[in-house]
Amino acid sequence: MIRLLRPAVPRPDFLQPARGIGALPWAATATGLLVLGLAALDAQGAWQTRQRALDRLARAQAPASTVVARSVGGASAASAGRLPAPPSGDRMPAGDRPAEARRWLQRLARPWPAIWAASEVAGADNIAWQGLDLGETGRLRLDGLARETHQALDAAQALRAQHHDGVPLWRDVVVARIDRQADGQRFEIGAQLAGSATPLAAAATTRPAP
Amino acid sequence: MWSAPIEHGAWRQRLAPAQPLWLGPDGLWDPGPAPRPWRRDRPITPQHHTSFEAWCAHHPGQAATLWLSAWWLHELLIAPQLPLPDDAALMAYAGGVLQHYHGDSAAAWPLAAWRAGGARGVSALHGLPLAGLQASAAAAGVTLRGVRPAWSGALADALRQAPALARAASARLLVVEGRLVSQLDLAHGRLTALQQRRLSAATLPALFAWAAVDPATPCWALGHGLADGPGADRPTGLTLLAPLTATHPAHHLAHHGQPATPPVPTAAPATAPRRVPA
Repeated sequence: MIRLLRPAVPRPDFLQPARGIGALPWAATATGLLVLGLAALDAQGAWQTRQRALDRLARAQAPASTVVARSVGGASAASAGRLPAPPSGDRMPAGDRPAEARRWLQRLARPWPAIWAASEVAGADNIAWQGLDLGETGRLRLDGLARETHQALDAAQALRAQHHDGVPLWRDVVVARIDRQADGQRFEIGAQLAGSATPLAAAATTRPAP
Repeated sequence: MWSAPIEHGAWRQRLAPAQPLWLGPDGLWDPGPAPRPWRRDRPITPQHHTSFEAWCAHHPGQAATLWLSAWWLHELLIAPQLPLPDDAALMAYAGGVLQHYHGDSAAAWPLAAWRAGGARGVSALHGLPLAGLQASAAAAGVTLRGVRPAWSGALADALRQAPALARAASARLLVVEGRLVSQLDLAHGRLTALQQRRLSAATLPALFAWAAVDPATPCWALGHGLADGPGADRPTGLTLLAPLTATHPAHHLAHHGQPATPPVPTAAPATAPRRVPA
């Protein structure tokens, strides 16, 4: 470019050196440098990917005494009971692992179809359910909105009558609260799952009888 | 993989800048070390050597570019309409012309072809054995980077100092080496004529008297080797880019990147119309 701006000056030389580098070698050099640069960028990205993969592999190959207990988010976790908070971060000490496994087994052993059917059993056309919460100890809490007070009492009665495998599913069914509001009667029904009298926390520390 | 050990000295020699040397009939002039920004206060003192061989003996292992005086050269400007496609064809044609005018001895003269801005020509080295120069360099381990006519370096130097030389529709540059003057005619920076003239005497008045023949063409001059004396004054339109009374080729010292001598102010008006910014 500079050569283009300057007037052409003769450059005779008795040693007759090779002529200046033409456009094609310069273009080839530029292309090579461009390819090298792109390859360097690609290599850097690949290196970072490799580092991340190695980190993941190192975590996956961590000693088996630690398990990852991640909290299960979403509505199911809210309804099925809150998970115990991990002791520290995502890791769990090896000693807590059997208790955690028992906790999960007890949760899985619950009659979940019948529990989910509670709102349908107690439901009526005039009740709008607003919340269903099953606590860690098997305590059920049903929030709803009814037009009349007796509809809430009917719902509680229907829960008392709900059976599972021939035995009542709920006990201690009470209408805990009824609030009269502008849009109806807001009420709360409390009940205890019949098969889980012992709190899970207590079960975790006591060995089940043979 | 390289099997030979890397010679650091060889690489340093290869990468070192070449020292410009001017070789004329009175010997060789070395402008000295290149000026450095942090050594600006040190004056440049050109050194004289009797020959290139003597310089090589004092500077073994260095690199050099030889600028040859016009006293050693013949110049040919070749008409652009001649169908000579490449440098080999140019030199073959020039060899025939030189042999025609200078006899069979011209067949052995080293030739150097050049092309610039549509013009082309050939320089012939008749006064020095090129093989002898190369042998002297090789004996001292000197790397000879180039052997070039001094007028081409002087032209580049003059274009740097006087850009109007390249803009003028018709301009002339005189490269003075004592009595011998290389006359370079340019049209918009393109070389249209390259001739060697001899002054009646190696004096400034002799140059002024000769240059005043064609006052219409703006003329610049640089070089050395003239004596001052009584006689004709500097003609109108002649600009001296260097005091021509120096004993050594000052303009070639500018190859280090800065002019060794400032342009001599001229009483003549600017030869090329300058654009006045609006």
